[in-house]
Amino acid sequence: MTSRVPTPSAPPRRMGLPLALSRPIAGLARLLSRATGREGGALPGKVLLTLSPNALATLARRGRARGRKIVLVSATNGKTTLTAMLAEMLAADGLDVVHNVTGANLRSGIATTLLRAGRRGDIAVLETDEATLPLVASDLEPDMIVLGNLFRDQLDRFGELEVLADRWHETLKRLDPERVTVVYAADDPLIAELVDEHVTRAATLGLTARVVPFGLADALVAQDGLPHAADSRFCRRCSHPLNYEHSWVGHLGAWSCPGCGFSRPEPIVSATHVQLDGLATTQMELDVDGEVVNLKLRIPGLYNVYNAVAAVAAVHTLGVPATVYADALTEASPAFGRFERIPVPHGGTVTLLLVKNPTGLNEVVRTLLASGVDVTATLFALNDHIADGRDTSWVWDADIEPLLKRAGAIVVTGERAAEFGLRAVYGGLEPEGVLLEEDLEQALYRVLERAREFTEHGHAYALVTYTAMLKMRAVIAAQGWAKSYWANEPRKRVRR
Amino acid sequence: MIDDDDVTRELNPVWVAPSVDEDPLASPVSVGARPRVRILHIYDRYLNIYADRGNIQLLRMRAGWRGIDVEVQGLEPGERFEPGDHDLLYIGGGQDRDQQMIAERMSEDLGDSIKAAAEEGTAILAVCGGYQLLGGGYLDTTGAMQPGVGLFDLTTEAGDTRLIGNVAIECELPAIGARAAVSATVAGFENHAGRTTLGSTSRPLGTVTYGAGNDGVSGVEGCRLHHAVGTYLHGPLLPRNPELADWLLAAALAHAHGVDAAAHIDTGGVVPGPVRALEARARAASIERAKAEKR
Repeated sequence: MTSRVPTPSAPPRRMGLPLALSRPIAGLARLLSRATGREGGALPGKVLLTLSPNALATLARRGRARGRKIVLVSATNGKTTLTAMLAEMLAADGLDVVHNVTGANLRSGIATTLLRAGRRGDIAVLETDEATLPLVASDLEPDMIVLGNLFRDQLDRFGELEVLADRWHETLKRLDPERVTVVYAADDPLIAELVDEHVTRAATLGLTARVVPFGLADALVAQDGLPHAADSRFCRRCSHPLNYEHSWVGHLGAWSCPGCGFSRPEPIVSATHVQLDGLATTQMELDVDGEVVNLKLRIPGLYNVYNAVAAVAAVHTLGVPATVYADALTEASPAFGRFERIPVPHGGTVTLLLVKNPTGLNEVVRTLLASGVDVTATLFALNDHIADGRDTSWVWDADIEPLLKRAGAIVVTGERAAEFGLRAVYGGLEPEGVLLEEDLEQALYRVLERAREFTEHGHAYALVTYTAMLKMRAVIAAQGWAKSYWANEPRKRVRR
Repeated sequence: MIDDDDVTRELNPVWVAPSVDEDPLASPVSVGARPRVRILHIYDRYLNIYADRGNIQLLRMRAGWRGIDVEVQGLEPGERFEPGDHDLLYIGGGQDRDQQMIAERMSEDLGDSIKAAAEEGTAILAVCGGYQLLGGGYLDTTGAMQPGVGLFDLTTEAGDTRLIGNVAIECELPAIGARAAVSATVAGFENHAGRTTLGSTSRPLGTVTYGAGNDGVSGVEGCRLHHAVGTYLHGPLLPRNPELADWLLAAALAHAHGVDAAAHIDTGGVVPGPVRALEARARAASIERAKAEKR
């Protein structure tokens, strides 16, 4: 049993250095951070926020004075991809888009992004950490908030899912319901309940809250049942177990509560027909507020269908025409480390798959297996730093058994490799099938060797937690197989 | 202190050592002839956070390596059970809300059964929230007292902060019949706001080497009564702590087939070599973290 963690209040409005003075210092910090090769885009913002605690609000206000809108995107899973999709689609419409492309999604990272943008930009699309959303929202006063999903993740950091839901609840409470549009997953009962309260609260004040529910509507791609890791099995209002007509990803689905009658809001934007074609493409038909839109996505997985639907719901609301956003979405490539396929010398590839919580891992496994690819050469890297989650127990809550069965053996690496090795053994893998190689670089070579030796096309798959992904990416860059992290800067756009 | 050996009574079929190599399908002997352990996973749909199913799966497989069948049954709120019907009770942790929902149900419906089961030597493992629920009650931040089962003489009070991190403790696990007592370092991860205080008749599961434990100040972790263990440690707990896992299995087997059966669960033995190597490495990594963390 746990106590509620109080919602953090905004930082004290104490006097820091005026923004004009601290900016050169932040610029210096930026140069330093590049020169020392630090991966995050967060240091300049951190310096800035230390010197000027109100910097976020100031930066946002300056942009707003010049008509720059702000969209905040938050979710447990998929927020980096979703934010990247949004940025692509808005840029295709000729907008100058400011975007925290490196996924630096805490206050410091967002401050860095806005600092770098200066006064530039028609719209800022900002990926925001789930726990940071309340603070960032009160500082930035966004025009739109996109709420993707809430899954069990990093319990060691957040306490528990309910704590996070309570914080989002507070965030919505502070919004002006008629100014801010809330784009949200109707399929997530936890989020739907928060938004429903937001709508009701506005109504009692005689206001109409601007909300845009999105969801899935294709029974053919539904799960057989709720997975073990499904978090929100009970009604937040009356505690009765929820009924699911269909579920698609984790606890996202067409739900209703037999106890109090609360049920999934009718989505305004939904995917009506979904066709998952291996790891290459996904075709889908969308119902966008009554209009049929066909989309093709070059990012695999049903969870990315959710990202696409969320992105369409947002840009449709912002007035981007379907002809523009559909093409842009097809151009969108996987975000850094998310189904990122990297060619290696002597033929073959390694595909990096970021995993960080049970639902995310379930979806990666499901997508890999449904695609029918040969998973003989598979690696799992488990680290336990803060960004990975210090508590490794989450790997036990994911359903990895089908992958283990298909793979037959798995290269296991990372600082908590042995823990994952045990997970695999108790998941039914023969103990000899656990190929323990704690050193990440050696493990990468070993899985590539397996790919060359045992598979037809030499494709290897590396499931990696966040810091393991950064490290593996660094090894790959050092080998010259792929560009470094810094090369992933946004493309310059020419205004239409 | 209570003598641990007294609690296992010969209520159940007498132990007959199985032949591990024997193919049960090829044998005309009925499945019932194989030794069997019956696990009851209490409120499994509500209390299953922190990889609780990992502990269950482990017990199933480690029993299987020794030719022992395992039956696992779930229990829904509103249902009851007979104390003698199960050899091991498992109670996991839940999110705040889920736990609040079932606290009263558990103490009202299951309190007497759980206490009776513990008295007759049933193995019990209660982790995190499950551990708190077996105590005398939980005083939450609003000052309201949520009821507990009262098996363990302890109370829990919500603290202002959460105690989060890796933990290592030193445990003494008593002999079960001819099976010798075991000392072991047990490593896991804790994440709890509750501060648990043991009563004067309680004995902790272990003493804290690194980490917070029951309350962050007393230097002890968990609680043990007969073959019932309550602890904040998850990870899940058992995979990286094979001594504790096998001790619980031995206790469950003693309950099922008489106290002599416990000796059949020796340490190591049938456990595959690579698994033992992984266990040692996993625990070492967990202890390294616990030692390095500044809390």
